[in-house]
Amino acid sequence: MLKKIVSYFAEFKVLKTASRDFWLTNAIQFMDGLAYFSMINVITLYLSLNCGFNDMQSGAWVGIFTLYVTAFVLGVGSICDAIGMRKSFFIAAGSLCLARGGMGLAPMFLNGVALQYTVMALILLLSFGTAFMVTAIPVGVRRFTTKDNRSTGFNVYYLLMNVGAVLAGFAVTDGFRNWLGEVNGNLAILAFGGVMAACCYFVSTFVDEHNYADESERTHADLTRRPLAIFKEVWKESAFLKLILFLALTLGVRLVFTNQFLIMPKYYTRVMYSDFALGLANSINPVIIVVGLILLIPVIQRFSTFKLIVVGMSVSAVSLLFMAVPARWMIGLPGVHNLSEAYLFVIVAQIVVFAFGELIFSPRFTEYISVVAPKEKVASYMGLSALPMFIAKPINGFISGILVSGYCYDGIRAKIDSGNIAYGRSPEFMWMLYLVAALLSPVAVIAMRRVLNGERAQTRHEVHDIPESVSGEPDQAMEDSAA
Amino acid sequence: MKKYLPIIKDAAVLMLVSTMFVTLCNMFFKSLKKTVDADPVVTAMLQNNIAAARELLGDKGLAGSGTRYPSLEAYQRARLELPDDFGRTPLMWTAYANISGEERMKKTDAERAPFAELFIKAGAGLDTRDKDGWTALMWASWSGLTSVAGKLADAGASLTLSDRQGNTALMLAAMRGNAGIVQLLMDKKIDCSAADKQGKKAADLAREGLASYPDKKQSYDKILELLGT
Repeated sequence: MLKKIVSYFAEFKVLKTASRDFWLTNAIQFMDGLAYFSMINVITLYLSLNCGFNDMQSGAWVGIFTLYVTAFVLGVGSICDAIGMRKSFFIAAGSLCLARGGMGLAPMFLNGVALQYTVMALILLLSFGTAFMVTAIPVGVRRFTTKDNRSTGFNVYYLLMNVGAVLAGFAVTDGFRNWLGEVNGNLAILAFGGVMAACCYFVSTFVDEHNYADESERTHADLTRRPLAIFKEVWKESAFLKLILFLALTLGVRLVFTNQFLIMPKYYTRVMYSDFALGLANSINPVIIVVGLILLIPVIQRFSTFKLIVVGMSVSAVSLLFMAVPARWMIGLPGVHNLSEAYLFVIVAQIVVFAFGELIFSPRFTEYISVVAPKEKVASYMGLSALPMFIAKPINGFISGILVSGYCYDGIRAKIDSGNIAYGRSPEFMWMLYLVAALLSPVAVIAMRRVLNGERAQTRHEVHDIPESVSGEPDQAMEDSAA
Repeated sequence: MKKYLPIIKDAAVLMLVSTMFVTLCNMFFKSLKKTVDADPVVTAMLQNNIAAARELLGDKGLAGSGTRYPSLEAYQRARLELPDDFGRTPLMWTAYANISGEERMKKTDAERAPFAELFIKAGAGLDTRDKDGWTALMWASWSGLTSVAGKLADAGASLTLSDRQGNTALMLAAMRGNAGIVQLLMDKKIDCSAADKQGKKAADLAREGLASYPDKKQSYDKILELLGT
């Protein structure tokens, strides 16, 4: 085990020669990650507690945020190439500073409808800035690395993203909430995001966007490669339809990712207590992912992509079972003496099991897309693979809002304690609904395996021969890891 | 600028499609489930902004409500009886907190007491019940907000009402190990022999609590002592 860890980090030595601009880009990525992940941990709580959105509205607006991020990513992907990386950083950091800072300060000066409309406008600005940021950072990592150290460069990028997510959880989220309380803590977390964005803006001024590590990368932006243009090109191809079918079938499980910020913060704070360390809980997943990527990936790469996707999805889906059965059933397990400990047990068990499933199937998604896509269109297919989630995320925002308002409302723990909540009105029932939806994914994929697995058989060599511009798909990774 | 036009056009199309999609979703899901908007008075209370709460219950709030109410008092009473999806009024929200830390609980209790006073003075229904039959005092008893419970009891809230399961405020406080509230209720000479639908009395619930939460032994022991067992 130690050997694997040492060899993973030994690989980073090749970055000794990386330029200052590479590290500046990573600094921006780290600071923005801290702000983004801490904000996403509390955003539904912020909308409800600080802005007076009801549960349904807060779920819907977080769903709308994710929809516009995806829409803007599809839209601004090519504009970043056209206007340049530095300008993109300035637009991103400027928008994020205004949006996050505004969200942090607005509840101090406004209330009622005026506050809600202001926050809605700021959420749109936030999605605009987020889209610019997640598009510009990977461009920077790619530009400031050579072909030899690029994959290590992206490893550092992923590592920093996950370290940012861990710190954003237990240090930033819990730190502010413990210090200032739940309500003022949320405001401080958003204001902190604004300060981080300002720091990103400052750091961006030092980035020399013309300092290409590899001169062959210095090409003019191809503005014909726009998402809508690509979509018009490929939407009738059977391989593309097959990919969309696959992505649609797997939505049930992948929506569990979005529940991490749509439902979990409210679930944790309502079935446990409002000062629950939700940041710490949300830090467990990235820790497992980082450690797992180092230790497990070489082992699981021996198995076929399709099998791993099915197994990983099944494990992730089954993780919801812990929360879907009555929590009281857990009382009596070693160390579980009361309902609070029972809820804590199911929460931690779900996080850990889900993370293992994610570790198995998530990296294989990118790989599957490259298998399905005609070789010359891998990048186009990758770009459009966000389409099903583009539709599903906002729908899940609304659905989660309805479910939370009915089955996991603020105060439900009091009613559970006093025996007023039957299973059909409990948070466990809500998770049962999500469990059924999630389990449909592996079942449907197995049922359709002939269609999904057919046509283009590829060797493992081909599978790994993905153009570097798309192999990481970092913007998607950022969105998905947040989700 | 010309070279950006196709991109801007695409972005506009995507934005338009997204907005139409969101609007349709909003219409569909709103028709699926009717929910009550969050009450700004409750939001002000959660933010510990008593000035905003006063404003919403004052002349400005009355002016904003149209001409439905003959007087400010009538407006305030009606305003504070507006229930959420589960029948909870702003006074019940004031009496609810789910906090584990003792210090934080004390701080919240101190912050909530002026709101309880404000709402009670403005004519909030003391014994209004939510959909499960809970009153504000029951919420305060479960939450452990001793000062809020004191304000409610002093203002004349019923101490003996029970919910659908037969739980009284005393039982909820005993169940949760909230010794301060049990003390408050016992000082009011409340009958502690009432039982819930399962036949459990406050003392039984305190014993169960002690078995489940041994870390709160001191509180439960005190409760059992107060209940005379």
